[in-house]
Amino acid sequence: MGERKHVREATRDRRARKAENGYPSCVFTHDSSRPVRRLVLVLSGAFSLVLAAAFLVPAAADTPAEWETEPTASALDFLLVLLIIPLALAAVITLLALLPSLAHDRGYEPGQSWRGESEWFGGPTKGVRTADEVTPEQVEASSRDSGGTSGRW
Amino acid sequence: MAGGEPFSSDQRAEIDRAIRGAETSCRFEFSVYVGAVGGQAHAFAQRLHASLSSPDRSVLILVDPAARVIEVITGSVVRRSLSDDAVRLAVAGMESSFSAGDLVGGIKHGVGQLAESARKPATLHE
Repeated sequence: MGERKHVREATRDRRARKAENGYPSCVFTHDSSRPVRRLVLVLSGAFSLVLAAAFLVPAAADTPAEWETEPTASALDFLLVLLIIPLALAAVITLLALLPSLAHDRGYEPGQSWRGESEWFGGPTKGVRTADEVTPEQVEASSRDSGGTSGRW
Repeated sequence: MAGGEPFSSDQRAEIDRAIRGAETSCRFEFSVYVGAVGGQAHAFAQRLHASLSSPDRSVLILVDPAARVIEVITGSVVRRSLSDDAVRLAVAGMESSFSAGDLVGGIKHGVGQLAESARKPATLHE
C-alpha cells in the first residue's frame, strides 16, 4: 500500500491502474483514455480531407479566353500613392514624435543660469512671507543649539 | 527665459519625493529653499528655519544658485543624531553636483544623504 502511494505521488496520476502484464505488483500504466484518442483520429482525418480538396480545386479551373485588361492609372493616382500618401504619413509621424518635447516644459536644465523665482519645498503654506513675520526672539530660540554648515561652489 | 517657473513639474515632483522619502526614513522635517537670498545668506536661512512649524526637529537646506551659496541649518533635536561633520560631508557632495551644473540631482542626493546620516542611531558607548 505504501509503495503504491509512493508511485502515485511520483507520477502525479490519481488514476494509476495496475497493468495487466502478469507482474506481481506495483507496475502501473498511464495510457490515455479512449475517447481522447478517437477525437484526435477524427480531427486529423478531417484536416487531411480539407487539405486534399484545397490542392485539387485549382486544377479544375478553365483556361483564360483573353488577356486581362489592366486598370489604367492616371498621373494623379501615381502621385497620390507613391508620393503624397508616404510624405503625409512621414509628416504625421514626425509631428507625433516631436509634439511631446515641444509641449513639455523642461524647467531648469544643467548649466543654465538661475531664472530668478524662488521656490520653497516643504515650507509653510504661506511661503517666504512667513519668514518676514518671524520675530528676532523666535530666531534666537530656534537657533539655540542648532547646527549646520554653509558652503560655496 | 527670465521669470516663469524655475522648475518643471517633474523636477518639482522629484524634489518633493526626495523630501518625503527623507522624512519617512529619519522622522525629521526637511525643507529646501531654492532662490535668491541677497547677501545675508546665513541670517536668511535662520529666519526661514525659525518660521518652520517645528524648528527643533527640522532641517533647512538653502540653495542660492545665482550666488552659488548653500546653507544647511539643523534644529537642536536633529543635531543630536545629525552631526555637523555629516552635514559638511553632504554639503560637499551637493557642491560637487552643483558645480557640475546638476541642481536637481544635487538637491536630491543632498537630502538623501542628510536623511541617511540622521537615521543612524546614536551610539551609546563612546
